[in-house]
Amino acid sequence: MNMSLIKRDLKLAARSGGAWLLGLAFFMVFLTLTAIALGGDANVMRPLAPALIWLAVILSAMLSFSSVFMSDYADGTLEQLKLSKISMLSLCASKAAAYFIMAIAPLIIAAPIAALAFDLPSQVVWGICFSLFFAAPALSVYGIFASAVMAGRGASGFLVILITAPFLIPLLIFGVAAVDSYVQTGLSAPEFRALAGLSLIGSAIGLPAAAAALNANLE
Amino acid sequence: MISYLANPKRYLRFARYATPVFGIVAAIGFVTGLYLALLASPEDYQQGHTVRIMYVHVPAAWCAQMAYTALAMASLVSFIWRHTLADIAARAFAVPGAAFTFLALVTGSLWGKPTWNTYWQWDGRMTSVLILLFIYIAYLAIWAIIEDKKHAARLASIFAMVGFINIPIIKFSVDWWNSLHQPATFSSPGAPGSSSEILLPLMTMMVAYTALFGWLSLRQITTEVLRAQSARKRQNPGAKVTIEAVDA
Amino acid sequence: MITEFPTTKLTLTDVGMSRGNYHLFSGVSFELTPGQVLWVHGDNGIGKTTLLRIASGFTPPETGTASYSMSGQSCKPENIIAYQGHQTGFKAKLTAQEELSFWAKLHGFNGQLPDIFTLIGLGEKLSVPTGSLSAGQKRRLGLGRLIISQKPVWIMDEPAASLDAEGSQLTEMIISDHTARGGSVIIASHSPAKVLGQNARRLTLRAAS
Repeated sequence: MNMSLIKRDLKLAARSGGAWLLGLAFFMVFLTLTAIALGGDANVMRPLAPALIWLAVILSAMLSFSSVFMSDYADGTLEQLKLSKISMLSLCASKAAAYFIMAIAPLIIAAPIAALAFDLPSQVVWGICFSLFFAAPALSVYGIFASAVMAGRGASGFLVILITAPFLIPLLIFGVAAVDSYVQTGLSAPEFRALAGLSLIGSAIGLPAAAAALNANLE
Repeated sequence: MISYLANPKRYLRFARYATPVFGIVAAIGFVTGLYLALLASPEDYQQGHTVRIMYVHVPAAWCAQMAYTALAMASLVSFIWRHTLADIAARAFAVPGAAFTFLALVTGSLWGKPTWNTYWQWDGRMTSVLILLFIYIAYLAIWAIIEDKKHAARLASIFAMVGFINIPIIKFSVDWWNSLHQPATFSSPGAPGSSSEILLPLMTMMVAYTALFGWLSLRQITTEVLRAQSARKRQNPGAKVTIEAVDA
Repeated sequence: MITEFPTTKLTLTDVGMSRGNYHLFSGVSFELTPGQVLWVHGDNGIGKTTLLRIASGFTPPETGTASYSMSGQSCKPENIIAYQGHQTGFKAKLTAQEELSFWAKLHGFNGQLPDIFTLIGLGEKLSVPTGSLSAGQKRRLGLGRLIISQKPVWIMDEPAASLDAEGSQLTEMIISDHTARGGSVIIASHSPAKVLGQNARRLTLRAAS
């Protein structure tokens, strides 16, 4: 992981005129629309809220995946980085870290606010935040992988969704379950271990795969 | 054996005799298997005749997973050695594999209707197979979208390997999820008992499906190998290269 | 600033490449040693860029090999090669100074950045976002990065594109300096080949018919 790269990406995001907020905007809009669609009845929404918030996170993440490497392919920065001391693996790790900060962390911060809108007890809110936090590495890494494969081919945003959906499903399953379990057993719930495991395995597979995809797309 | 077959000429010689063998085994297998399954095997005391769908459904699901394993192996070979035949093989495995997955889902759904009174049930197995179908579709989409097929092969092989490692994870998570959410009465219609009357048609169908997969794949690989060979023969000569010193 | 580069060698042996079903070239062999300039000439679309990308290590050749050595030891392309392709390789929203500082840090450049900026004639443009620079100015910034990279072998794809006469002269001067210090260069260009170093060769790709 390279700090200069991470700082550079964050600087670029700050100057992008808010483009990095796409995921967050979608998150808010999706939950608002869901609440409206469900009739705004707190009793109906409360049991569904953890699942809906998790769903909102997964979908917002999917939206922002394709932009991760898009500009690096477009402006030729990727080739320059390949011929530098930074390995493609290190690049992918740095991108994942920057992606976490720009795209996932805002969602983890926004989730409690959304939870308030659903009138959730504070235990559930903590459950949501913790489950998202444990899943965040996997989410970031699969996003980096999808973006590395897509190489900024704009027309295929849907391919990003196809590529990542199968791997995001276990995250969704354990994530939602973790929220329920947290209320009962706190952080010792097995679902958190499962999420941590998924994040570790996801990183171990996804980062080298992303690096391989980057190299393949430079050929 | 893989390295032996890697030479296109040797592969073609192998395919010329192997393909009809697979075809014949498949044909005999299906005729025998379907006879045994539909006519000669017993009814289930609970499900009646509908249990017979199992003989179509279970081998299809098994074959779908076996096909993906073959696809992942071919992808690994393709990624490490950059061998065109491995690329062709991986792609060739994907189409029947996806078809078997779809067949498994459809027959599973048809089996579900009389058994559970619903066409779809989010049980562990069906959900995992559905996700497997998504993976196949994504794999084929990568091939379809990227115009340069060598490039497509490379990206597809990376995706296939990531998918392969994730399949047990997906299966585990879906089974676990399902064990929480599904009431016990809705357990998936499994093979009722393992008497030889059940096993014989089941195994026959398994062999038939596998032979069918082999036959379809070999035909597709042969077509592509021949196409690649003729393309290479018709290929343009390429630019002439000269290197000379430059005077000051 | 490095005054003398280590001895490097870039060798292409019997390299061939196709794009899809279209065969570009085959049997390309050459050695690039310190002080040499290799010009690559040919019509547009004939495969110059592909050849350069093979030499840079981005694209594995279909047939043949590309090998690299530094001080007699075999090494990886990223150890000795700096590449300037058609794309700028710069982020539009970062300023010229931020970009070269970033690359200087990455490549471990210890020299004075202001001197580099003066050399490439962008002394006035330090705080201009690269997106606002003209095409020629971006090319010059690229030259600056080549120097900062401290790599002995430069591979340049159409360096004279979008450069005016002054810019072209600057490029030639910088290349001559580079080769004088033991560096070597591969240039794909429509410009006529010049020596610019110890010796120069021209590789021409000509359509078969």
